[in-house]
Amino acid sequence: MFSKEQLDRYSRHIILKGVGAVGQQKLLDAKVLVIGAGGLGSPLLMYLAAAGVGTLGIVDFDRVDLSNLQRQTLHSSARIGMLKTDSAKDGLLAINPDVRLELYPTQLSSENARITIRGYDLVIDGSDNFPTRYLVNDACGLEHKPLLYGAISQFEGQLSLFHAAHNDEQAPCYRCLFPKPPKPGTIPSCSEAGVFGALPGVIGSMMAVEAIKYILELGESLAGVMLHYDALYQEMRRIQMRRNPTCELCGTNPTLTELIDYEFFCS
Amino acid sequence: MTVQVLFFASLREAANTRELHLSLDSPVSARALANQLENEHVGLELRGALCAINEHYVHPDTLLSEGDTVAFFPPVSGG
Repeated sequence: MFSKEQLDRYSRHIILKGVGAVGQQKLLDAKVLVIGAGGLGSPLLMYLAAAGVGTLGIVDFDRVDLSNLQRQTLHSSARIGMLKTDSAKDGLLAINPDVRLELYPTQLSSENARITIRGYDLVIDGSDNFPTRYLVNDACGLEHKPLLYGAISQFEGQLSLFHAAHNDEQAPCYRCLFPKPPKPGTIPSCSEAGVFGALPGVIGSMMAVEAIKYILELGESLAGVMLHYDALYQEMRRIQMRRNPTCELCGTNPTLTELIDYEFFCS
Repeated sequence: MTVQVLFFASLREAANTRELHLSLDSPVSARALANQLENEHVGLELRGALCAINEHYVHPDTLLSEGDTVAFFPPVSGG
């Protein structure tokens, strides 16, 4: 049963064909874990909270820095120095006090990753480094959790849905596409190469769209597709993917049966 | 045969272009094309990049056909 306030707050979803009261209840019952409350996490968390996703877990050990504010729109000048999880809580509860927040101001590791993701229906990776991306991908594979992935660099971004069911089989995973983390120093990070401020707004918002579609089972997901966006030329490409039979995590003979910590060479 | 090659993200800087049109002697695999491109562009590293032909992810041993568009996407980690 919706409260009077909920009927009002979610009225535009409740009257929308495809969502409706049933869909809105699914959103209120959903538990989503977001890794990273930065550039991608900002729009993502704001739209998920606004939509009434009932439980939002947020993992981020970092604090709000002045250099974040060019793109991380969930945070603000007044909250510089705060833990991003606490700043996110302030921002999200101001949007929608109906949402239950579970905050993890810690570094994900091989020790805590599986247990952290276990209670959630969907895991979303908006982290900012390769070690975390491989760790989250592997943990989701081992725990059989769908993983919504998004990543950006300079003027380009990409997103996909990994591990999820797709045409009666499992969708490919991050390792199917990129089997091994790149060697330290070969791929520049945002702090080294810069990032176009509005770019995470585009990719993070598309991730929010995919997360809500996934919860509501609406339309076609990005399972088996990597969507690539080029802001400089306003071009989108859909790369059709398939599972890699030699994938160490989800291939025919998987060898990766427990989590590995990769060295934090980039952040 | 002629193929179009597209570079993305950091590969554009290394290749100094976003797009190339090449004439190649067939048969040639995606991997052989990548090796040729690396030899022609100092600093271009295509190992570990995702390779797609006509917007389909392919194994590097896949042979190219006339008119194919071959795209290379490096892994990116920013968030």
